[in-house]
Amino acid sequence: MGPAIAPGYYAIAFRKDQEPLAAQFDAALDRLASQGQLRQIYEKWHIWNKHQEQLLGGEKVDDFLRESGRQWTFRRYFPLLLEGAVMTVRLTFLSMLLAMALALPIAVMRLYGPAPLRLLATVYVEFFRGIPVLLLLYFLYFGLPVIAETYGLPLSLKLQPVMAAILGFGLNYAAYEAEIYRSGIASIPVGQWEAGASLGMTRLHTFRRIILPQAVRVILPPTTNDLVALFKDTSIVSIIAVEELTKQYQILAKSSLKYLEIGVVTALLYLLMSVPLGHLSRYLERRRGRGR
Amino acid sequence: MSGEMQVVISHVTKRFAQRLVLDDVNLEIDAGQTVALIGPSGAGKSTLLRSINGLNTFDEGAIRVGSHTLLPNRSHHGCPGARQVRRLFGMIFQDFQLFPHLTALENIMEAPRCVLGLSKADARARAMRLLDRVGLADRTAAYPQELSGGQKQRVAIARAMAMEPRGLLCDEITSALDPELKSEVLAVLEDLKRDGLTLIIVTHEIGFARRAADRVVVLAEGRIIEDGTPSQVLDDPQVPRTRQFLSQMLV
Repeated sequence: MGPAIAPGYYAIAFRKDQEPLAAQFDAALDRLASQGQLRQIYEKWHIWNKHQEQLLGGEKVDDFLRESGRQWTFRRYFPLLLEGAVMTVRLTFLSMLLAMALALPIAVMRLYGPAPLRLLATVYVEFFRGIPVLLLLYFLYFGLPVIAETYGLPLSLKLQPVMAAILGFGLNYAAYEAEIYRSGIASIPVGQWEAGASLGMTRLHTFRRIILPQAVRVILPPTTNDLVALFKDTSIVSIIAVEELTKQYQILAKSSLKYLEIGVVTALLYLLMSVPLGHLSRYLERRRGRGR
Repeated sequence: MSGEMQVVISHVTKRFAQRLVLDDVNLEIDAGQTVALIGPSGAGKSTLLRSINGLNTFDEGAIRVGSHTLLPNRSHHGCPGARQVRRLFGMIFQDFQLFPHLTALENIMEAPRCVLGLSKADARARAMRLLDRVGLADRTAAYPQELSGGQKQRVAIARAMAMEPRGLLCDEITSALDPELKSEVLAVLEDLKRDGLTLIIVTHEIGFARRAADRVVVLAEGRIIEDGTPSQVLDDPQVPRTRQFLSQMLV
């Protein structure tokens, strides 16, 4: 853990129409504080420090919050958001690379593999397309180490959060990409295979040099589209403690209470990256018809 | 030499579902012959042609090309016999089937490089020579979609010729072309015929068959119903079915 960057606060929230209940809580807390019991409780849980005295010393919480909001200037929170954005981009591209690397063999197995491999590939696609990526992330991050422990495996299977995230999204998106690749490869007319065969080319050579280059043009626009989707989906990994852009926003907004301001900046950061990617996708779509 | 390239089709039969597409077809074609396969659509002309280089399978009989024999009911993909036959016979398709992501030159260079193992420079020189021969020396860098139909088909012929085959199988290669473009493609074929290539041509161009073919074979309902010189078959058909077909063609 790094050094503390800002004080945090515990607060109890009440519904607006329950002011009397809130007042009762306030009174109870004041009583605990004045009798020293609150300090005892805090010390028991090792969360007592000198700042608590200041709080109890009568300074109003409101003032503290206002003060911390003032401390969280744009110049202070923006670099942290940028760090989150860099992590988001890294997650997106590494996950997509993994997904694409897995997707091609899966697609080829589904199209041309012998029956057992074809079934295996189909099961893969159906499984990873059918479960929520959130569940997959939980399993990879929290579940795998438990399995290793339970069955006494020699390796720990405890993944770094970032590794778990890349693996989870890679496995998940590989299923989607495999389907895109499959339909893209299947869309190339059978006559192209026959032309290759009639020239004496092997099936493999025809696939590699004739079919695949043409399929790539069909595949590229929807793949780029998925890249944009993945880019935004990566925000889910905040649940396994990866500090990407959305997680940074959560942390910063909670500390500063500038939910709106930092939210707008965060959204702008997302848009700054996703909009050009979307344009790239549409550009590739247009270019496809020209067939070069 | 001629024995090496003889094509012998014996008792070839093929069914699609219940329908008999080829019905006990027997045909011998000598090296250097130009044979026009004509007949009504659905007669099995293309099926027969595609069986010769293993693009189609058949159910009974055998096809011998030179010393290689193709047998029934085998997938000819990767079968060594089929690959050898494909080295002897190039194939030209009705819809060209040029590789759209490659230039005219690259279309021709691909197979010599990967199948024959030619160096890039050698493959390039061969492709240039062939493009020049089919009158497209100035379109080397053009992509297929930038070429006219006639030009595409001439590139396709050059592509097949780059493998230095002993013959060409032509499957209705002018059917997708405008009349004025047909002649430029047929002129290329007549030029190749002079080189001594064996040409087996499925065509609807009765005029071309008359002018260029040594032999005209008429197929109807999966059977060979007439076989002879162009003047015998086209001017003096012996079978009523041939007369009926020819009269329809001339309308």
